[in-house]
Amino acid sequence: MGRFWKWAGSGAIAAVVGIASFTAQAADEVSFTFDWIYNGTHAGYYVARDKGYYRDAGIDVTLSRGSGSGDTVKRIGAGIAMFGVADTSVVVAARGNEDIPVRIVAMAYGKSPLGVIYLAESGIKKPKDLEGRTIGRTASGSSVTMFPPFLAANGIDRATMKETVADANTLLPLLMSRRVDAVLGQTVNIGRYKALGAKQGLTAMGMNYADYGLEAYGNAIIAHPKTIESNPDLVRRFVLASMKGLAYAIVNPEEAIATLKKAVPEVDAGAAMEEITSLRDIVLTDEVRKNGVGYASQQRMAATIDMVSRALKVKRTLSVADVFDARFLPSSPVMPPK
Amino acid sequence: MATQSPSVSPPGRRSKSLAQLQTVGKDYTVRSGGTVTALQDVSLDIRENEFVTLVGPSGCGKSTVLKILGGIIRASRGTLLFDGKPLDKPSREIGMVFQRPVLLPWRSVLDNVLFPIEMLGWNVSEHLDEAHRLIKLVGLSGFEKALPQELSGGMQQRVSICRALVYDPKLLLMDEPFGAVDAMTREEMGLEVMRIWRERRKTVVFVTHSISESVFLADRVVVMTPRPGRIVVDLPIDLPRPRTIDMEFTPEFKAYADVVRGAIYSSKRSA
Amino acid sequence: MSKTADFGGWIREYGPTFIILVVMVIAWEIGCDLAKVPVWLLPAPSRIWTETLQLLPVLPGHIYATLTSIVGGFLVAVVAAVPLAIAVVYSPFLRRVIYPPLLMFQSVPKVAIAPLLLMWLGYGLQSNIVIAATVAFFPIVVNTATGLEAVESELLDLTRSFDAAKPKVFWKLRLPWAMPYFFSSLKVAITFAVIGAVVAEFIGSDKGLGYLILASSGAMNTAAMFSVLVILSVIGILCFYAVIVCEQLLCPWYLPGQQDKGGI
Repeated sequence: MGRFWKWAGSGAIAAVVGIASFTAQAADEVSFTFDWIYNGTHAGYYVARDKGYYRDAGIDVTLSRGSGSGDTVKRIGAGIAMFGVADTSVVVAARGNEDIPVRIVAMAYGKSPLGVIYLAESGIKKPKDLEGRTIGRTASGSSVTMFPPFLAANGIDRATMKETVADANTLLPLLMSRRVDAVLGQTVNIGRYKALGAKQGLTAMGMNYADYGLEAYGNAIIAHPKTIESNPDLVRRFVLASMKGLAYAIVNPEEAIATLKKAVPEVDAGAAMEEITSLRDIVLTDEVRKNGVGYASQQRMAATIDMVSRALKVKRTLSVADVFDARFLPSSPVMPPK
Repeated sequence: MATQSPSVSPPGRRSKSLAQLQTVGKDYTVRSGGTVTALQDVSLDIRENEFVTLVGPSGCGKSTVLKILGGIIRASRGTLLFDGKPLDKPSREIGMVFQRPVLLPWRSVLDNVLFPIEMLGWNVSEHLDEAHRLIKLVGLSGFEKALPQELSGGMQQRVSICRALVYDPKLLLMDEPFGAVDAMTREEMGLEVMRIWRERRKTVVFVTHSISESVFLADRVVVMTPRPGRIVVDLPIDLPRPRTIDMEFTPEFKAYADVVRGAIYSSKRSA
Repeated sequence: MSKTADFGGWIREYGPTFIILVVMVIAWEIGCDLAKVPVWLLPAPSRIWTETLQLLPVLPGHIYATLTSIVGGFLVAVVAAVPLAIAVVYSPFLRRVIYPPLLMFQSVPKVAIAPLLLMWLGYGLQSNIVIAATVAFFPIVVNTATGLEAVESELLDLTRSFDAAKPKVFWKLRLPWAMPYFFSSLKVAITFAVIGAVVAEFIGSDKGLGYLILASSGAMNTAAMFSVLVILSVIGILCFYAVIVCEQLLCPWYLPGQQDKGGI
């Protein structure tokens, strides 16, 4: 007899919950895949969720880690996730070489974080100093493919450099052990280098490609054309909430990292702090200060596409519209709160 | 007729003793910690040129006796004498044949026969003729280059007999050598073994679980019973040689077989 | 060992496999076309073929690099494993000392420690060979040791019955006995060596098929990546069959179906 009441009870509860969720405005379920393993650069999206920006926009978001921009692009293209974070150069390659169906709907990074990380102790001060040095890099990846345009923009001869190929996690120890003079990577990661360097009395420094002649965009929010076509309003709402979160995070780094750490406990809070701190300069470019977080211009996009296409020998000639759908940028610019 | 009698030489045969077990015992420690007595107080005298069979039910220790004779196992108690001298390690005067031929699959018949010579470090070419003679003796001429997989079980067993004889041991120990072979081949091979024994003037100790086989082949049948393993009967067989298959149907043969059977079963009852 | 030039027999034996492969490729091609599968998800064989032709100029160098790692790693593994197997069989003490760390080492995924190994040993072909060897090593030790011990007890009794010297027992009995086990482990080891070589290249090379896979994937050229995967499989298969050929030459008695059971 007791068993019957248990069943009846749970049945009733289920019915009530079902009815309640039905009558409440059904939130859009959205899956959002990052470009890489959870790190400080993703804190903004956790802020957006924690502060209810997504919820207020009627979005129920699931945040998951990525395995590289290329992989995220393929996931969005295959419809496995609805939105993603991926580097612009990878999106260009994907559009041009394999016609993967994705579009950039907002620009998270005002400029590309790709660059060279080096030790001040090596005597390197400007790009030209890299000549004749040993550079550590991964076998492939954006920092590698955008290296030639950077060199070209600064008149550097690559043939004078020795290159050591290693996997991404090995670059840090390589630089710290002075086996290489500089590594190619993302300057958002400089936090880790600085932390480890400090322990050994070394000073890690970063040199963005973007500051030395490469006017290129960086990480962007991407979506499938079908999502854009069938639910443009959702895209707009998602972009707005995400950019609000990002804007808040870069001026409130401690709170942002605390939020991140609550959601993803295994993140190293120290490294994440450095990442979100470095992210500030990458997000808040002059262009963004004028036009809001998430903004990208047609001209700069065209320039980025052109440079990446040449660097990667992309097969198709791409128009801006092939890559970037500007209709979803926030109508009133999103600025970081004071 | 379950008597614990020491071995008695058959009347008229005063040959010298080749191998002797004197009150030999063998214990094994079992996993659970206790000991099992596999053999208790076994005394056996093997005379030159005798054909002795050991018969008994499973677990009576007949294979253990053979392995002690061959120097593969060491007795826990008692003495083993060979040619009058105590034997504490394997001797090159003793050859063994097991139930399974276990030939080396990567060697030809001839190379398998010569295997002991190589292992002893002796000169192979000196024993080549003998190997060929033995192969001919068992009726496998022409198969010298064959590989064991190409031979039947009976043929392989014949090769293993050649292998046991190639270094001309005085004593041949055979542990149920025809167990894996079919009944008709068994009879044939029994005749073969007796022929080899006669022509080469060997001494043979032959273990079997077949009562009729034990009587058919032997000058002496030694009956053993288990728990603990011991000799209950040592029976001289006075049938004419060379033995023929039809002898198995004579009343004398049957009488001997009955004695053996009786010894086995009565000790089963009394055990 | 007569290898009869029996062309008809050859066709009968390999014909069906070949036909099945061709049918699979055609089905793949048609399937991709009909289902409009995007090239970046699953390229059609025709695309893979065109990409292969484009890769042709650079392929030899990369194939050579990977093959060197595979074969080198494999040989190093054999040279290291066999003495260890012998030691483990002949010395219970060494067995107790060696097996636990060996097992621990084997359980660690090489993908995890390969970056560390590369740091210590330096980047280059020699490190790839070492990594391939570490992956291929274990099955050889275990199988060879098993084979050395698996000698029939009657045979050991036999050698004991005429008091044969231990070295002779090893060379003439245990070693040949262990050959089928040894070769069986080699078949596993060569496939592991392929995996190990590619993993090493993923992590720290700019030469070799592993590197090519990464580079194509990074350049968003899935068809090229598949092309390299196909080439890699072919190389793996060829290496495997090379071991089988060695086995046929060195221990022909073991292969089933080679001899008829004749005689009475």
